[in-house]
Amino acid sequence: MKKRRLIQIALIVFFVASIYLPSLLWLGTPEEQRNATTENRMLRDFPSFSLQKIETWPGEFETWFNDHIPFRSRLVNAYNKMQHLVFQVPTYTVLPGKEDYLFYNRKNDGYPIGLLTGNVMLQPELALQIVENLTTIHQEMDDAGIEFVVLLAPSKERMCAAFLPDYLQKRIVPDDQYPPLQLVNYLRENTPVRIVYPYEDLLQMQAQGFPYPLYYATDTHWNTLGGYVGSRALLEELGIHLPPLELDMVIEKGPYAGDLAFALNLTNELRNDVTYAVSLELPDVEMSEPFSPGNYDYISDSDEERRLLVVRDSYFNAMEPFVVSQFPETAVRYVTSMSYEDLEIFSPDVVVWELTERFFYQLANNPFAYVVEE
Amino acid sequence: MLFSSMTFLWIFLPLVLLLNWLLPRKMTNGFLVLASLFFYAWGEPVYILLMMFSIIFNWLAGRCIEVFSARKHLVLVVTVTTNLLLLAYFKYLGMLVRTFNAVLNTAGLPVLEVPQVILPIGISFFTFQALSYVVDVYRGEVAAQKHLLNVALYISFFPQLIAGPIVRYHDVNEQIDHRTVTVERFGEGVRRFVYGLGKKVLLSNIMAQAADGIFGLDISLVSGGMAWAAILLYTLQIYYDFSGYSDMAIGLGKMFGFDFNENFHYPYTSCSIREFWHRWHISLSTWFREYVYIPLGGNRQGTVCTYRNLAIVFFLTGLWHGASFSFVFWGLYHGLFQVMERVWLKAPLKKRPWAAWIYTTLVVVFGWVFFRIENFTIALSFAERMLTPWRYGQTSVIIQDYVNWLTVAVFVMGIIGMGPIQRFLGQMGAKWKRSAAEAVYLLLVFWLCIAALTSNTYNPFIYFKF
Repeated sequence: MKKRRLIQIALIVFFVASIYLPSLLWLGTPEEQRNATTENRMLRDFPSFSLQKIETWPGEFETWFNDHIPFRSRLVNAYNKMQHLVFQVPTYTVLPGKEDYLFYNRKNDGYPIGLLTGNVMLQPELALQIVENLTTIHQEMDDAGIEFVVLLAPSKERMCAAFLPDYLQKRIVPDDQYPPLQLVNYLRENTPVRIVYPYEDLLQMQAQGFPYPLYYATDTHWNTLGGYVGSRALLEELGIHLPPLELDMVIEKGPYAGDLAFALNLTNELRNDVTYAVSLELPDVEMSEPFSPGNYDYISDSDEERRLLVVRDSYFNAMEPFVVSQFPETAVRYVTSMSYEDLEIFSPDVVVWELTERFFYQLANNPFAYVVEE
Repeated sequence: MLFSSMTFLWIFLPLVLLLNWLLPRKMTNGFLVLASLFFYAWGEPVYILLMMFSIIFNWLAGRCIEVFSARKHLVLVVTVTTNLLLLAYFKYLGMLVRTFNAVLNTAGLPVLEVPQVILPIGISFFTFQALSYVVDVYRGEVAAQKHLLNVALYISFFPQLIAGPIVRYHDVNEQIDHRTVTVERFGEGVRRFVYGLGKKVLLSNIMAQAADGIFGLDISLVSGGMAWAAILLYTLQIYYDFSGYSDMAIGLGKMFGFDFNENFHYPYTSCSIREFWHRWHISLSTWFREYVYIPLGGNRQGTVCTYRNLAIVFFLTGLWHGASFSFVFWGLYHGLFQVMERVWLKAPLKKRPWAAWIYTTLVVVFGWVFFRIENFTIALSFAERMLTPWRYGQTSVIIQDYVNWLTVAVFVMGIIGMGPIQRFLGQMGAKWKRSAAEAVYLLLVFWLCIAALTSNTYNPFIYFKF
């Protein structure tokens, strides 16, 4: 009985410690050593209180506290380790695949898995909208003497489908039912728009047994090598030739954990990737200060005469050094911050609209449209 | 504020425990009332006034019953009517108007606008507790409380305020004035609380993700296999969710010196629907038995009256769970089987316990379809998929999007924990309780829950609306 009482007391002591100590220790931790910004977002500020907000303030407080739970990063890390390393549990964002490959799982952000499995289809109305939009853009560019090219970057989920879980691999639709490829073929048949779709180029590299991966295992993007292949395909379309990627051009740089590992808060545990560089003599490039994240201007000592404007997403990061070095002046703009003024001020000779294929539906929008401000 | 939230675990509970310990005993009731009202106001900053009205009104009613004993019947009628009218207004007005509109529509008459009344959290629970107090005073089982604070504590005490168990006044009235917090009681409270938290966070919430995902699909996409997967997951989800919350409530009560009655006793080991209702949400069925079934005559007025009384009780049980005919159907469905067991199933069930268990489980599982899916037509389609799964084999849905290895592991643990392991352990279970191994296990469970809660924001609670 005495032993059981001691055990009861110990249980009580540890329970009480568990509900008091973390907060007390946290209060004693310097501000800068508290939760690291591992979530790639702004943590909520403490909500101001007023009687008008009396109904919403408790919820805001809980949201704030959930963002600032003591030792939050470590707790998330510990739990995700268990979920991912033991059970390989998919999360809202990340789908674990084979050989430590991670894939992007979000259904409300292009849903690349859904494209592969036929859960997302190309609707005829959307295809027609895209045709009309791109034809209009092409015509306007052509009238202004500007070359217009669309680059659809193949998604990792398609190029690395062999690393998807078996239950998904069984459901992959044939090529002729894959929406981005359906769209590319449709656009090539029904519009004068120049479409670059380096899927075959990448596939050929893989088929030839190229020993280096072209996409990251723990990131949503292609790596520098995949970006080089995509760049080469784009530049070929523009009449600029880069040498094919050979083994002796590949330089291994170091370990890397990508955005998907980051999303699991397991960047230390999933540091499986390697970053690569391509050894290639390229014209020197100078970069301006960014106007905003991802928006730069470049100058190079290339002999090319045309000026390039690239409307891009994050897949262009791996292409940037190879593409911008081939043009004397390049303006690079994120599609969300592209405006008509950029077109007017920069006055390019070539416009490239680059986007990853899971966002193909965005081709129905016109990022170059002149918007009358109200 | 949910028990399974970090705000509760790392802010509210530590503060309330600390202050409760530090304050002199005579101040603790008042302090716990303040803490409980704050707890309620946290989720209902406006309807806290309704809670306070209920407290004051029912306390006055109890005093009036005692003081004006000649008119106590009238006082009781007024009090019960007022309480039920409040409940009807906030919970059932929309349903009543929609039903009336259906009649008007059939008659070709213009329909009424359906009022959008917000349902106060826990109104079904605290109204039933208030009624328990008033009726117990009326029956002379207990004396009316002279101190408003004590009635306030009984009605509003935060451990059982929003999700039960429904505590009858005569079960706790002595404890309101005379209770002690001993090491044994507090330790037992910690045990129950952590077991409950683990049930809710590590079992129910994980199964809920899968079940909710499948139930959220269009019915045309649900195959027979998926329907069975969803309902079996839901069967365990609702048990661990509700029993886990009850465990937490009972555990918290013990930490403050209260002993509440058990609310669940391995209901999925039942071998009849009658037995099921002696093991499932015991406090609700006890309340209905004591305050509805027995006053109606119970089983003492012949067979027909017994069945009538059962039908009324189960009609009300269904209605209590939600303002929708699907809940009423679910209640009457259980009532029907209660009657059938009395009429002719009793003997066959006794002879074949395994068959009885399968029968009971199937009845309960099918019943959950109508409990979970409010749209009756969709619920019927769902049940059809369960009954004829070979006709609904094809689907474009990827089941692994919803059910993964963790779900399967948790489901298996859920099956084991719902009764088999307790039977299997037998005497060993008694040794496990309050052992060092259990203490270590509980602390691991607690910290795993903390990690899960920190990692997840998905934390629904099924009975929250009641």
